[in-house]
Amino acid sequence: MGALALINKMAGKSDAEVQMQSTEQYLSFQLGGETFAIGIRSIREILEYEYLTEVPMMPDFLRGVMNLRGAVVPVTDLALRFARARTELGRRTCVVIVEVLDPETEQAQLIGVLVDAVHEVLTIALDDIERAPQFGSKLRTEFISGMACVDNRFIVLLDISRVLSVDEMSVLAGIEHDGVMPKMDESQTHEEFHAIK
Amino acid sequence: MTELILDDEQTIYQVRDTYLQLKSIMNESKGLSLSLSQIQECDCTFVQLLLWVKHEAERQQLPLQLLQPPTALVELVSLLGLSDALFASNQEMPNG
Amino acid sequence: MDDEGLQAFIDEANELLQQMEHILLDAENAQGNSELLNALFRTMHTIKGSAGLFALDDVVKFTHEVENVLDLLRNGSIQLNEALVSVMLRCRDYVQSMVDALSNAAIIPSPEARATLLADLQQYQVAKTMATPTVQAKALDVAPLLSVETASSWLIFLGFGPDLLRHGLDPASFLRFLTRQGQIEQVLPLIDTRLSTSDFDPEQNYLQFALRFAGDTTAAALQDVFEFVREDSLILITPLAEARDFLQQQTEQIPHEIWEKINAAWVELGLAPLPSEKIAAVDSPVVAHPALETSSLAGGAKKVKTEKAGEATFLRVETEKLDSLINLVGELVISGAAGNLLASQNGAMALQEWSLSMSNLIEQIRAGVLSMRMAQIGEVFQRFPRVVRDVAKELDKDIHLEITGAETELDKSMIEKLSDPLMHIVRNAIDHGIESKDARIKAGKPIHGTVYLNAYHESGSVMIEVSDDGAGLRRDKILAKAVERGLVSAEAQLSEQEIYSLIFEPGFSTAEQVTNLSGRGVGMDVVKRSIDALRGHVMVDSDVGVGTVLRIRLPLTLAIIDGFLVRSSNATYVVPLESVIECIELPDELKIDGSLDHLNLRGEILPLLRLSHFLELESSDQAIERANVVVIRANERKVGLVVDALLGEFQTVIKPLGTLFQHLKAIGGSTILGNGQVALILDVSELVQHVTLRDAEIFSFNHELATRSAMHSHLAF
Repeated sequence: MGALALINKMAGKSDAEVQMQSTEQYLSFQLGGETFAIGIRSIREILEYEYLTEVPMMPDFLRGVMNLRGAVVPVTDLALRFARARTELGRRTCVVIVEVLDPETEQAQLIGVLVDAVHEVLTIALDDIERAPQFGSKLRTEFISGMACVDNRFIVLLDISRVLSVDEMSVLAGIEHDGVMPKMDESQTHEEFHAIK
Repeated sequence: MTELILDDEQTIYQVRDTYLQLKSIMNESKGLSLSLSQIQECDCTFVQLLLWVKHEAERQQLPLQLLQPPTALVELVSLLGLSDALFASNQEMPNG
Repeated sequence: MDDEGLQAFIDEANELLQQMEHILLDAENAQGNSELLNALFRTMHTIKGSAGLFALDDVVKFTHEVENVLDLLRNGSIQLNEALVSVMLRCRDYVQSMVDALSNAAIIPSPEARATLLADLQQYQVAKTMATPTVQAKALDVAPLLSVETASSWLIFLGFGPDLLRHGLDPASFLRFLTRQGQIEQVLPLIDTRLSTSDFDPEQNYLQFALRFAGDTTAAALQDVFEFVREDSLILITPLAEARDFLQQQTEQIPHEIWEKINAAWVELGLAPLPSEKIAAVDSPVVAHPALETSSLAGGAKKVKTEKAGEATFLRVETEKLDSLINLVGELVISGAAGNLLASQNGAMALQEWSLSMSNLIEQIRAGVLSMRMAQIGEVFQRFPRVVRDVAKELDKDIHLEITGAETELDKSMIEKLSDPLMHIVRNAIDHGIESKDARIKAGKPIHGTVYLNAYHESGSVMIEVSDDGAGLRRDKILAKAVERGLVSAEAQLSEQEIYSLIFEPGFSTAEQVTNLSGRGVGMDVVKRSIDALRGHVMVDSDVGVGTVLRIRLPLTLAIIDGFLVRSSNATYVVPLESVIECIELPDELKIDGSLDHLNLRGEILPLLRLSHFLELESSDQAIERANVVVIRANERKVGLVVDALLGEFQTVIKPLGTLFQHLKAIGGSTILGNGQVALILDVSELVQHVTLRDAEIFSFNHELATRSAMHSHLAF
């Protein structure tokens, strides 16, 4: 997969600036007609979408796994996680690789996020960030870390550690899985046996 | 940053001259990049001199690069158990 | 000291404690063997010395007491009888608990145990007053003798004077000369601080060195090397074993400051440090027993290995480093496979040849790196003599343990995970397998039972066998119990193997009398699960009255498997090749995903599992013209896996899927294919178990029906 941009260096440089001007950098991206942004510190890299391997019996929002230079990384569909329409693959579809903490192993876990398009890195003054509205948003409030007004448009800043909570997602995966595993359609099997008889 | 390529022979016979040259450079310039690639013969006096250069650079807070040490020097330094003291913190060295 | 240092101490102590146990369990052999008794003494002595470095006073005090008794033992004042072996084993356990406590705060060594043990040790100490003079007398004889003899480990201090260089001498040339006489194991440069002052003189010498040197030579021969520099330099050479004495003698001759410097440097090189800052503490135990010190110092210096015959040299490497190397090699294998593909597509002869030789090299690197991960199963086996001894004692049984194949190698990470299941199997063999003494006499068997531990390589797998010459398994009893527990139906016709494998079912126990041992362990089902997790299989074989064999088959490594690629609904899956028996084409009449998922395989009923259906893949079944069946085997059961296409063999590196997928049972992991895509690895034993459960339900629904259905499918051909 070709790397579109390596942001690590930028993020490193921003540390000093942040302290001086109390600003924070965010990567904004397109997701089903809406613009969201994720704090740049948790972003490892951005890749062009190339190929995913679907993993059977997992919830829809876990779209599959991909090969990130030898590591196998799960890729989520944020739109499905937000209970919206499934992200369709297009020419500008990207995978944003995000680093979150896996509470189980207490290690950083990389998770890919499927987005329609990546926009830009925004430098937002902390003063310009408003708290998430308690209602009126179409999103679970805890997913929102704040709202920022950029060019007279509101952008939702995501709390990515909540959105991609390994704990929560793995519970969801477990539910999906448990619902499916005893996948023995008993009534059917028995009927068929009767038929043979 | 002053770049300096050292001559092929760095033993006790040249060490005083080299020392004086390096000393004056370090007093005047804003940094020192020493290319060691040409060195063919060296002894402990040269290793001592490098140790001094390193100390001096740290004292004056000058950036210092020791570039392309030849095998002979690396072996000598390793024999003396000084690899860590001389090369370890010098990140630029292997890329030089 | 840092954590790393402490970890090194813990590792070392564990090794020594292991060694101690080993010697104690072979007491018959050890009694009268001065080498072994010395080694026994050194285990405690070395732990004591190293513990001193970390100010672990509790450990020092306790090991000191144990050491005293072991000292009496090795100079013959007391005998290694069974009572003493017991005390020593308990002391060992106590020291182990203190060592374990260093890394695990949850472990608190019992103060009662300590008090009891110290009291026990005290009894033996009574003899000490009588024994001590002998030790000292011996010491005085031996110490001066050593200096003229050859030694193999040396401590050297090269205090070159400031004018050395001006005299045309180069310190490096002396070091080079030494490397020709032996090996400089460690060099510690001592740089004169005046080098960094403003009056640096480039022609003056600022370098002095402390060395640890290995080479079979004499002090005189080494002194000769430095003949020319003697005048303005301070050169000290001493065998490592005598170094403490030697240095103490120099206190008068050498300026205090320099003496301190040398002492510090030598301690860093492996010299046992002074117990206190008091230099002339002649009364301190370390100095008072020079003979003890000489023998123990060599053992005490961690990095010094005298390398007696047969001892292998090892390099300790962090497992993390090795794992990342193995990962990279995995990448290399994948990338190499992709290169091969490109080369053969390109067709240029030279390119193909290059690619071939590249593949060969990669294969060699892979094998080499994987072998680094290999360790001997003996690491686990050596814990068993103790277990057998303790358990046998508890049950009042007389049991011998015979170990063979301890040198068999397998993946290090597996060895660690094997310990618990093997422990349970062995306990089980002693507890349930081997009869009581009376029963054995009645059966005309020798009164002592035997447990055999055996390991060997067989066709790319590792086999571990635990067998006993006990009563054997009674099939009727197992079956009765299984029926009683509802594990099988009373009418079920099970093969011998199937009956034996019932003991691995959860909640199964054959012992009529529950002993205190079975209470603490895990069930055999847990054993089976741990073996399954290692991608291994367990099989049982037994003869009533003769004994039982439990065979564990394990893959050589966890990191890489030979996989068989299949396609199902446009996705590629990997089946571990070792579980693939054969591939056949799916007969036409079974193509429709229909009712009867069984196939007649040369007269045998083969249950089928349709992969796309099972994995709930979007079926592309209309398009399938030639569905294939991969016959797989797990746990002695066969299942036909119906897939769309067979793609061939592929060596693959296993990549874990991570926490998010932990509930996903049918998938065992993932791997990266030559084209860079991720493929999922199927967990064959889960698939087979699924089919077994499915069929068991059918069977229990109506056994007769099942038989008929089998006939039906039989007739279908």
